[in-house]
Amino acid sequence: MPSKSKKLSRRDFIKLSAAGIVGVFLGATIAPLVKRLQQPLADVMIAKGNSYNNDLTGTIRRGISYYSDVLEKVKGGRVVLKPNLIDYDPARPLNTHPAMIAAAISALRQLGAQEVIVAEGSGHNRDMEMILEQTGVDQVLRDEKVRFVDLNSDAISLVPLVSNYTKLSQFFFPNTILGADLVISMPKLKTHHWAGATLSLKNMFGTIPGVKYGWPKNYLHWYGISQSIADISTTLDPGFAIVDGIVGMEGDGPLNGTAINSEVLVMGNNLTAVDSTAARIMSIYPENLLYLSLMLPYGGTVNEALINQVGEQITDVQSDFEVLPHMAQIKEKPPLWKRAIISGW
Amino acid sequence: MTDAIKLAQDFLINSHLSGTGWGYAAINPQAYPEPTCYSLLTLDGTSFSPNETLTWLEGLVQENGQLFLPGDDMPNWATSLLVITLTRLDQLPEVRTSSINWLLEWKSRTADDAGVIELDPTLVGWPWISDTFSWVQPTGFGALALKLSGLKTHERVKEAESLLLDRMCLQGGWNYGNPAVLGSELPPAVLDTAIALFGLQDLPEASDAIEKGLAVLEELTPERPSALALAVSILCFHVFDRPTGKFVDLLLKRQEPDGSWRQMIWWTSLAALALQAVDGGKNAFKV
Repeated sequence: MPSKSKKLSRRDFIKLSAAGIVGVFLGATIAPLVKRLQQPLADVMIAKGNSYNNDLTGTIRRGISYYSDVLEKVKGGRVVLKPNLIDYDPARPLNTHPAMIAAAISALRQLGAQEVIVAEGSGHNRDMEMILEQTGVDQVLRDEKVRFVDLNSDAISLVPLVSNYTKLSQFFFPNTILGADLVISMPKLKTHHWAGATLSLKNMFGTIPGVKYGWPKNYLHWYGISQSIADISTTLDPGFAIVDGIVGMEGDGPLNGTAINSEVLVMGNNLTAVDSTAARIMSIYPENLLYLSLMLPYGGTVNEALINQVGEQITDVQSDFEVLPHMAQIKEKPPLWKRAIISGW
Repeated sequence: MTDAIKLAQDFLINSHLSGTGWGYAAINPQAYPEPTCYSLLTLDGTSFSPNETLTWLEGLVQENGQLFLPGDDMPNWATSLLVITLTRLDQLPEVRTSSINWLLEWKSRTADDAGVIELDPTLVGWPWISDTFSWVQPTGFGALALKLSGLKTHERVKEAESLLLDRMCLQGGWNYGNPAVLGSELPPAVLDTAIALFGLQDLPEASDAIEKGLAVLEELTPERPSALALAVSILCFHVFDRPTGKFVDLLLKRQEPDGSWRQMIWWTSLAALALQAVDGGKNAFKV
C-alpha cells in the first residue's frame, strides 16, 4: 500500500495560496476599519459663554489645566496661538474674537508659558496689518506685548506628510509653527460652504504659506480640501483647540454667513473630538464631514460614545446652524454603514 | 518727504541679509524674491550695491527662466516681479529675457465650466503656482511685466486684460479673483485692486473699470489705512495722475522712528517707492 505523500499536491498548493491571498486581502481591508473602530477615549470641555466680557481667561485657564499633557507643554514653553483671522467685514463675525485671543494669552502666561506668539496666514487678503487693526487684534497684541507672525511670509521648511491623502508627500510649513512647543488652534464656530464646517482642524489651513501656495491656497484645493486639512493636521499635530462659539456663523460661511449667538466655548486636546463635538453643537453630524473621518487612523475620535463631555452637555448648548442647500446632507442622519464604521451601532 | 525716504532706505540697507536679499519682515532670516525686488527698486540710485543680491536672485532662476523660491522646485508667481525689477534696473539681460519667455509660456489652468463661481473659466492668465487657476495678483503683475518689456500687444497680455476685466467685482475693484461665489457678491480689496489696475494701464477700453477701481481705492483705503494699502494706493493714483496728498499724509504718519513701517520689509519698500513716485516722479509700476 503506497504511503500517503506529505508533499502538497498542486491542487492543495493552489487552495492554500488562494486562501493566503484572500487572507491578506481581508486583513488589508479590515485592519484599517478595525483601527478606525479603535478610536481613543477623549475628553472635550464645553463651557457656556454668552458674552466676550465674561471671565474668559478663567474659563480657558481651567480648560488648559484639565489636560496634563497640554499643561506640561505650556509650562516654560513657546506657545503659538493660531486664531482664524480670514479678512475683515464689519457686518459679519468672520474672525476669532480679540477678547478670546487676549484671554488665551493671559491664561497661558498665568500657567507659565515662556513665550506666546499669535500667528495666522490669511487665505484671502494679504494685508494682515489691516485685518489686525480693524478687528481689534492689533490692540490686544500691543497691550499684551505679544509678537504676531504672518504665516504667509514666514521662513518655511519642507516637511514630509504624516498622512498622505493628497498624494503630495510633503508641504512647506512656517518655521514659527514647526518650532513651537505647543500650537493651539483657535477657530470661530462657523459653517463652510465647501467643507461643511470650519473648526479647529480646518483652521490649520491658515498655516500654509501663501508666498509659496498663493491666495487663496488654491493649489491644495486641487488635491481635495478635506484631504489637505487632514494632511496638514496630522503633520503639524496641534496640541490643543479653543473654539470661539460665543458668536458663531451660520449659512454661507466662512465669509458671507450670518451671526448666530451660539454662546459656547469648546476645548480639548484631541482636535477631531473637539470638532466632532462642535459639529454636534451646530446640529451637524460629524460622520458626514469627510475630513473628520480621514483623521480616524491618526488618533482622531468622532464616536460620541468615546468622547467624555466635560462641563456642559451638548444638548444644553446645541443650536440649529443653517447650512446652504447644497450642504444640507451634513445635517441628515448618516446611513447605517457609516455610523457602524465611524460611531459604532 | 525726502527725509522719510532716506530713513526708509537706511532701514532697508541695515536689514539686508548678507549673501541673499530681504525677508518679508526684518526679523525674518529667510530672503524671498518679492520683498527683495521691492527693496532693490527702492534702493536704486543709492549707494547700495545690488550685485550680491542680483547674484542671489540669478541663482534662483532656472535655465528656462522660471523663478523658484529658495529650496523649492516649482516655478513661482514672483517671476513677473523679477522681470519688472530687472527691467527697471536694467540688469541681468539674459536672465530677464529667459524669464520673459517663461512668462509667455506659463499658463494657468482653465475649465469649461466654472460651476458655482461666476466667471469665465476659459480665460488664461497667470497662477500663483503651476497647474492651478489664474488669480488677480499674478495676472496683474504678469501683464505689467510684459507691458514694461515692450509686449503690450502680445496675445498673452490681451487675454490677461480680458481676464482682469472678467474678474472685476460687481461694485468695481477686485478681490483675489472671485467676484461672486454661490450667488453671493464678494467685496473688493485694496491690494488686489491696485495690482489689477497696474495690469490694465494703457487700455482705453478699460477706462470704466479703471475709474471704478480707483473709486474703490479712494473709499476703502482711508477707511482701513494700512501701510500696504496706502502705499499701493498712492502708487496706483500716481500711475493714473490722480491726487495723492491725503494718502501721503496718512502714510507718513505711520512711519516709525527707525524708518520702517512696523519693521516689515515689503511694506517699507513699497511705502518708500510710493513716496519716491510722488516726490520725484519715478514709479516702478508705471508703464
